Amino acid sequence: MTDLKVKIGKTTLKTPVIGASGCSGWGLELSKFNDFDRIGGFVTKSITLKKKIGNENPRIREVYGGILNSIGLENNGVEYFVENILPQIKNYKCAKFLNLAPFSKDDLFSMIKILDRNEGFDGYEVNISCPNITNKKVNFNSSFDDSKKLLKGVRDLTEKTLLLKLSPSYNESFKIAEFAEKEGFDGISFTNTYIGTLVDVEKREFVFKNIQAGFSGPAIKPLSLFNVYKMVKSVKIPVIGIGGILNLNDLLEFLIVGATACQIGTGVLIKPDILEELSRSLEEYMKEKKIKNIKEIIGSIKERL
Amino acid sequence: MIERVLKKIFLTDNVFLLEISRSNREDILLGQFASIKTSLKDKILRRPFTIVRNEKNSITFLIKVVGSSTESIGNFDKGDFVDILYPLGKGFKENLDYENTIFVGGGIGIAALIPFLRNVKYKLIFGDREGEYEEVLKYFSLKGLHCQEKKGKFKGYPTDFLNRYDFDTIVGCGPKAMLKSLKDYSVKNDKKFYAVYEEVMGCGVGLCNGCSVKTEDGDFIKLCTEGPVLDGKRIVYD
Repeated sequence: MTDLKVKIGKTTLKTPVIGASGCSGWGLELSKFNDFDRIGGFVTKSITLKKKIGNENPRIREVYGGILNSIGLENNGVEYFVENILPQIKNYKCAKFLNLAPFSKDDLFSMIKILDRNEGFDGYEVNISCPNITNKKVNFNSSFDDSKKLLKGVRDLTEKTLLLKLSPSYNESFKIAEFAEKEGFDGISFTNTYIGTLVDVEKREFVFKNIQAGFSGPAIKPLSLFNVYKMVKSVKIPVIGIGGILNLNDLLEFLIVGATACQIGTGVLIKPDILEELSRSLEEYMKEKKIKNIKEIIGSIKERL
Repeated sequence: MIERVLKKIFLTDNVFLLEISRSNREDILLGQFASIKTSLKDKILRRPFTIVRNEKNSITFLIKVVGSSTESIGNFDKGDFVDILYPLGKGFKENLDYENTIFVGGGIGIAALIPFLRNVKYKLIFGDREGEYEEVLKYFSLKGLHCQEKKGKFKGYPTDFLNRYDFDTIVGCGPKAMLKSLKDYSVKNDKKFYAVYEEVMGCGVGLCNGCSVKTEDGDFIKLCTEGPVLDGKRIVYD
């Protein structure tokens, strides 16, 4: 029997393959392409306390090696999620994490209090790393102190699995992760997109109205892989590796450097059935290599130093 | 899913017809589209195209080469494998009264109108800025008022000729400037206006909100799952 199961907090994932927030819709769209019984899970799009309209167009542009996005957390707010979306996804047979994007401590606490009264999901991924936040006051990831204030006490609100999603664009992420670990978070989702931009040469203007956008896709893989490796060294709780994974080899690299599980973002946009495909190909790889348990792969990097 | 190229014909220097096999038995509705993976290593996102024709065993696209992605799709040959997702989009389910509907196409926007114009009597104005679509019209046996920006019998923009017709509904597809004129006209003259809209798409299947279209009430509509045929008067064309 090949065992692909991994545990993060109270959540057991059937495989270490998870659909990343922002690229997995609300799970509803993904369910048409993947057998949820055969994947690890998915993380919803960001939920905010109140409805959020999202950014002006353009929102997405392809560049060499990846895509830039400026979506802007578009969603109908937490109450709408509870009433209209949760009932549709609650019976899905994979792990379901709700990505929460707070603009204040009150926001975060209110959302968790509202959501925690409900069943039908496994945990939260607190997202303080949206690449399209330009207001410094709510850009928690850019400040260790602001993040500390925000995250303090979150653990007391819920017994569900708690993840924290961090940005590779701020050095503070490593300190924030260590703090989250002390606070009782169960895992770190790393990395979010890299903050980048794009210029329209003809118009001599930035393409995105917010100037900045989140860069993802295969081009970021080596950067994220190294960042994940560093994060694995920084904290003892599970790290969920994210960054440009498009195939089995990419997935294995992240697992080998110590990621307990991985999230696929841009890969899902290209190939909506990639979560099931990667889960299956990982299982086949393990059978072929006579690896009985995924734990034999996770963190198995041989370090020469 | 993977299909195979059955036929590819360049109808003009840069507009080609691509017919591929159809193994997916799902019904294909008016206005639905497919997203095709290019053969370029440096382009990772699929590209969306209207399904112009669907037969029992094939689907057809009409594509204009506008950049490296469409160029690479234009290089597909008979027998090549095509990585494709279809049918996508909500499709168009309203009953159109063709007697009182005018179809307005601009440039390659005509592709999205072709499925509406099969086996029916229709009214069509087609704006062909450079006069390069003669062969396309012939191939699909399209009849209507064929205008060009600066020459020919009908000189001007498609909207210049609307007053020649009686209609209460417009179905339009083409450049944003044309759609905006159609919206202004529809608002002013109290006509119904359906726009077959285009936007850069991330996934094409409702996952990313990359193709959201801004509406008059300050909201956004996801084009890939709610469109591509939208209430043209609701859209903000900026």
